[in-house]
This record gives sequence, structure tokens and C-alpha cells, in this order.
Amino acid sequence: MKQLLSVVAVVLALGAGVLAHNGNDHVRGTVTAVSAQSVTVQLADKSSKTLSISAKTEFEASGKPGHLADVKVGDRVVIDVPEHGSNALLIKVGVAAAKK
Amino acid sequence: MTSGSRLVIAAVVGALVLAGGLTYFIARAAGFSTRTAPTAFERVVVRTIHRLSVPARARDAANPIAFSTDVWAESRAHFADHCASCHANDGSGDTAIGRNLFPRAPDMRLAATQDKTDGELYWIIENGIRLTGMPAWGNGGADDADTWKLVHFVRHLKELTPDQLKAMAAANPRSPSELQEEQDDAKFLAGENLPPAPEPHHHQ
Repeated sequence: MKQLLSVVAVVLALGAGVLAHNGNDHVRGTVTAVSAQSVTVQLADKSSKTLSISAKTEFEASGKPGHLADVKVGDRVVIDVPEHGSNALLIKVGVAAAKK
Repeated sequence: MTSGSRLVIAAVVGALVLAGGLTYFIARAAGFSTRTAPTAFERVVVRTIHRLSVPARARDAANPIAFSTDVWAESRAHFADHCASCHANDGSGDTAIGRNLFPRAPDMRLAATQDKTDGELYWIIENGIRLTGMPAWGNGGADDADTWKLVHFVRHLKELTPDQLKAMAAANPRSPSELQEEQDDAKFLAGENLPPAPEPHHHQ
């Protein structure tokens, strides 16, 4: 049973688009909603994750310091959050995802 | 043997038995796990022993390197590369390793570290501390310029700016998987489609 649970956990993690780095989790996805308080991203496995935005959240667009206004629905983002946490520490903004 | 001598011997034996009993009790209660922080008793004993272990001449040694912006920059880069894995870039000790060592990596911005002399800090970096996670980084000599520059770094921890901390984070050692992850992040942000992400490794 324990092994089965481990396998399930691994499978879930593989599809989640969440990685650990520098003591933080790393969330990769496409923005589906954004406000002054939170950003919601769709992950590779089509699941959604909502992370809170605070005054401490930093932004980076095209490798340079950015602002909340740089985050738009449809943009690809990589977000640093504390392990097991939901506060966005750093939001890196990339190109907009291609429309299907 | 005089009665005074017998009294001294009895007191010493009694103190040793008491210390041994206390050590046995602590070991039985908490095992040799590093999960719990050292008790106050352990902290006092170890700090006292360590303070006594630093030779007076070493403790009183003055930093032969003058502080400058170059020394500040060099020591930040050195610390980020060699020390931050345990001590954190800001010296807080708040890292996955530092939080779980026994004893914990200290918050070096606080008095327990800042009250030490430059010579004591140099001695610790150069010679390490037994039964802790602190290794000896030098050869035990008294003239390692890089170590003296790190002493300057410790003294100026509270002056670190957010930009300096960010630059240090970029200079922290990375595992092959972290490097791969950074490359994948860059590709993802540039519009490439990536294979499923690997399993994250979580620690306390």
C-alpha cells in the first residue's frame, strides 16, 4: 500500500509542473487570471494553481525587473514559491502561449 | 591524603558523575538525532569549551586586511560559493542544511557571533568546530587573506542590500538538476514546449 501511494505521488508530481529550487518550489504554467492579490496558472497537466501576490512579490520580464502590470492572461510564467507555500516570491514572465 | 584533598576529589568525581548522568539522560531522551535544537545545557557547555579552546593570541589577532569595496565584493562572492549552503547568503542560517544541523547554523547577525573578536571568527573559519557542521576551511595558519576577508563579510552582514543578495543567490552552487531546471525555465519562457517536469526534491 505504501509503495502504491509512493507511485501515485510520483506520478502526480511528474505532471504538476512544480519543481524545487534553492529551497523554493518552482511553478511553470500559463496565466489564466491575475489580480493585485493573486495569479492563477494552468500547469502542463491542465490543472490550475493559484498563488497569492504580496508587496514582497518580485517580478521579472525578459530577464529585467518588472511589475505586476507585466503579467497578463496567456503569458507563460515561472513562479518561485516557498516549499509547501502559496505566496509568490518571484514571477518571471515569458512570451504569451501560442493560441490554438 | 588530607581531608581537603579528599573533598576536592569527591567534588570532581561528583561533578563528572552528574555531567555523565545528564549526558546519558539527554542522549536517551532525544537519541543522537539532529531534529531537536541543543538544550541550554549543551549550548553553555559547548560554547564555554570552544571559547577556552581558542588560544589567547589567536583571539586577540587583528584583521590585517583593510576593508574596502573590493574586499566587500570579493568576500560576498566567496561566501556565496563556499558558505551560503549552510549559513544562507544573509548569514541567517536559514537553509535546508543550516536549519537541521546540530547545533543549528547560527544567525551570524546576532550577538552570539558578532560579540566574538575578529581573531575568534578567523579561528573558527580556519580551524572549524568539532562535532558541528563547521569544517576547517584553512590550513590553520594565521595569514589566510581569504579567511580574513570573510571575517569582514561577517562583520558587515547587516549592510547587505537586496541587489547584493540577489547577486549572491546567482553565485550559489547549483546541482546538475538545478542547472537543467534553469535551462528548462528559460526555454519554457521563450515559448518552447517541454517534457513533463521531474519529481521535486523536498526537505524541511
